[in-house]
Amino acid sequence: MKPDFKNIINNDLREQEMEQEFLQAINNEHKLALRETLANVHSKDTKQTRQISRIEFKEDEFLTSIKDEHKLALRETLMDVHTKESQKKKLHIELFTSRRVQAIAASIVVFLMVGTSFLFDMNGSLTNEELFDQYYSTESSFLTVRSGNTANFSPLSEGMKYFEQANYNKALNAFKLAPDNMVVKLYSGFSYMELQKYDEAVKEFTGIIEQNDNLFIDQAEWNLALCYLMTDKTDKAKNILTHITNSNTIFNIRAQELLEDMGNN
Amino acid sequence: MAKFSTERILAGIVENDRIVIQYVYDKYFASIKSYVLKHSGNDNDAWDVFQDSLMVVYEQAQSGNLTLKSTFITYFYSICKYRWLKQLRDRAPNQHEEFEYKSEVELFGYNKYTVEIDEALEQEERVRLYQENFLKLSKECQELFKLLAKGLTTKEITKELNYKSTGFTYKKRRLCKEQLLRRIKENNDKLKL
Repeated sequence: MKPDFKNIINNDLREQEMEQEFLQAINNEHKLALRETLANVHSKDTKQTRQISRIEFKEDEFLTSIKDEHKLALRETLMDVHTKESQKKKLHIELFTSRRVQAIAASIVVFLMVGTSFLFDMNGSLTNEELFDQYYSTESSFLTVRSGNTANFSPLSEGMKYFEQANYNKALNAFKLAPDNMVVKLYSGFSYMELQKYDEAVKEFTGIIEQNDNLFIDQAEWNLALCYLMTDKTDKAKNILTHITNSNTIFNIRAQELLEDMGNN
Repeated sequence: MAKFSTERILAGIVENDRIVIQYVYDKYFASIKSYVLKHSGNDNDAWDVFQDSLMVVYEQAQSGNLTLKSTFITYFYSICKYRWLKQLRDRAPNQHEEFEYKSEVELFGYNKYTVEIDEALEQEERVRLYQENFLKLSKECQELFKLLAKGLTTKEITKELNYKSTGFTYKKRRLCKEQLLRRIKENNDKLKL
């Protein structure tokens, strides 16, 4: 009985204290109003940033804005002035901080700085298409062809003849007569790439990879990655490239470089 | 550095005279930047303010209805300040009272232009976003969009750019548009920070 009684009194007292505190708190109208304003400002602020950040794209508005050639030229000048100035500043800071380093070392730093900022500018603005152009070449694909294979296979040699003449449609027609040959598949893929029919090329290269028992898998993988790059399937391209970098093929280093160049694309 | 008169500066902006623009940038950007930084902005904000304000000057000077009673810099600063205070106000209306915003403008006697400048600045923000990102596109995409803006049909563009087929032009157009949208999205993401 006794401890319970004590407890009740204690609880009661505590409640009373709390109630008083609460009443005091809300009694301070100024503080309450201030808090309300604060909450208001805060929510409006977050809402506002969201609103600002979502700028809708309207194509006709965009086209009108680039139609004003004078203004566009003025902006170009302005951006140019601004970029050059920021670069100059960067260089200046770098020079300044490296003053205690020997002269030669300093000049190397500057050289590297200029070099990397140049590279950065280039890579920063490289699109998938530009990357593709940089990494895709028909010639290097040619190098790994085994001439022996072409000897007794007439649709293939016929097709190869057209392929070398850059007559890709005719080459494809010839290749279609031997659809299950892996070399044919590979060169059909190349032909489609030349014709910029990347989805068709993907089918050919995938066929080679799925068959999984031939000498052209490396080639097929590398070019498949390029096709995905060109059709903006960046994630797929990255997956394959990562796979290639872990393999032991001649495309290993190129895949690494391409991955680096792709960066956050 | 040579000193240019107000008339010369305005003419230089209209004519896209690089020397004049370099002069305006060298002379005024730093102080506008420090103003923006002092008032809770960052480097990018400062650069946007400078660009938008200069474009408003361009628009007004080019339309011919700009007669300055003050020097160029008084006028330009007031637009820059107005532009920045406007952004602050838009971000958090309760924090920046109207009077501060107004007095800044009235101080320079531009209150009758306020509405005009307000509208002009509003427009400039979108135009900047479009033009800035357009200029960062590949030359090929720039060319394609310019022809589209001129109102050429896909067939005509295919011919003009020596493309293989109209299908290819459509594809290019889609890729270019994706490139542009990606850049605009990146811009938007930066704004969130």
